[in-house]
Amino acid sequence: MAAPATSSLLSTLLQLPLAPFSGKSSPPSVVHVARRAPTAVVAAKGFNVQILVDENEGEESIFRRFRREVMRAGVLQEIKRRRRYESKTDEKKRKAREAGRRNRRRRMMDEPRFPEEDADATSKARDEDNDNWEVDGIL
Amino acid sequence: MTKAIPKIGSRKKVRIGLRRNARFSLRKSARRITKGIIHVQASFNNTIITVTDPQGRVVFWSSAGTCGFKSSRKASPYAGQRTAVDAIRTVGLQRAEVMVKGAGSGRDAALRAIAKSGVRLSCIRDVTPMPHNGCRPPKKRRL
Repeated sequence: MAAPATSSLLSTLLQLPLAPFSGKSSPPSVVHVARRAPTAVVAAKGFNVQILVDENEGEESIFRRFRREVMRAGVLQEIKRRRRYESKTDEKKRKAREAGRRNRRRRMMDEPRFPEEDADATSKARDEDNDNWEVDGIL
Repeated sequence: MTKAIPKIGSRKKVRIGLRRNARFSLRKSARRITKGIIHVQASFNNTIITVTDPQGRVVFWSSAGTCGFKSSRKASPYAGQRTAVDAIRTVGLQRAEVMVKGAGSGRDAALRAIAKSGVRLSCIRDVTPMPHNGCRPPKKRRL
């Protein structure tokens, strides 16, 4: 009674198929491991960018999506920059340039796109609030 | 005082020529697989495309140089496109993953050619090696 219990316990612990054995007295001496195909070449995170392609996705959209991801990761800029040695002064200049570009973009995003139109809209709203004609009183 | 007889063709050269022909005939009959990985290595001077099976064993490789391009034309986008088409036609892939390495000009052209060739892509990865401040690169060119 104890032997089958131990064998089932073994199988649950190992989560492996056990070798078939006839005698109920002793547990199997060999544990058969299912032969698995070797894993893919790339490790869990051996890439900079990855896009998974949908079933019915056009080649243009695949290509566009991949390019966008690569641009976002900044892979190509990094490679081109690291191709030649960059001195400390050059690095400082580049970083200042990049920071300026980033700040400019942020400022543009924060500002309203058409300020004069926004001003017109607010003035119109104010006029409508002040407009207190009573049509019912006239009629 | 007699003139030396000029050699028309040495035996060594003939043997090399034969070997080269044999190699190319072998290469064109690459084993055909339906599922695999396409590795695109786009350097600044050349584009090399290697087709492997899912385990990473090389089935076929092709480069801009083997496709007949010389010198700076090897780095062109057209060379990359031709290389990709050549590699896929020879192997006859149906499903594939694409691994892109490097930042050469043949990179985008090769990827576009692979996408248009009718191979069903499961995923595209950029596996360009990035140093974490590794070796010092060569000094800037002063032209």
